[in-house]
Amino acid sequence: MSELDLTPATAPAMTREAMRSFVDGVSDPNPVHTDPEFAAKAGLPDVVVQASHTTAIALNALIAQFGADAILNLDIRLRGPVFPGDEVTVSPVSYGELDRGVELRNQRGDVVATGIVVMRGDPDE
Amino acid sequence: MNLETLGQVLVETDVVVEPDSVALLVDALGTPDAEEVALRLPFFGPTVGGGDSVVGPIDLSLERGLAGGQSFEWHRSFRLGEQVSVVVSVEDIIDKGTLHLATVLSEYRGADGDLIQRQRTVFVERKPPGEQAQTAAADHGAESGEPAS
Repeated sequence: MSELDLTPATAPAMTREAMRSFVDGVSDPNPVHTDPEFAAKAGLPDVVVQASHTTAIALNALIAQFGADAILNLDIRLRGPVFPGDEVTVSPVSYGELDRGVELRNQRGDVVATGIVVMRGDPDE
Repeated sequence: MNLETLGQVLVETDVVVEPDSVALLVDALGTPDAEEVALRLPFFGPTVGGGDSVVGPIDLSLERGLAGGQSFEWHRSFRLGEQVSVVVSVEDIIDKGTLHLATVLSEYRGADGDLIQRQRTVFVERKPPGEQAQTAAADHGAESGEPAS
């Protein structure tokens, strides 16, 4: 397989309002996503984006370019927190023999997540 | 974490793909394709049965724990307003040195019983400092051939 033919895509800058909307939408009450004081107790400098929200950013880039029906599986590893103000860019990468990789980096170049995509028609579908 | 929850079904219920909830996700994403994205992940398995439905039984500390990854297997998108059944279970939960790891599996089926989505979330929890010290001592004992006490 060749590398994913994905044009790098940058999501809108993360806002506290967007973070709140997302956790309300999936009914996740974990205060680490909304309460800076709680985040500090957890050793974090600020609230962090919910896991599915980060997955959704990766999925959004894939759906925008390939369509929802083309994406069968997505396996995301969260490598670092996403904070308010962060701008996350989704790019294609290769992982050894697993070519269908994506990488999510913030505006500082830090990798915040990596993922493996299975698309319709892939040999391992 | 409570390692004895391995294999347990924690939630078995019906849920509705609420348009208002999907609208919140669309607002959060703020992109032209946001609704298609939202209809691929309108539920978070660990909280779909209520905020404490998984965190409580597996005894996950929110101050020492975080989600380390997620995987999705899609068979189709959810539909606005549809009622689906969901089963949430503890697929894996282990002690790994100074950490506990748990994989929470949620499976969503439509009214016809066909699978819509299989979703896994991996939680990573640091053990409390006291427990970490015990783990370190036990590891040292194992390495040096001494009995772990």
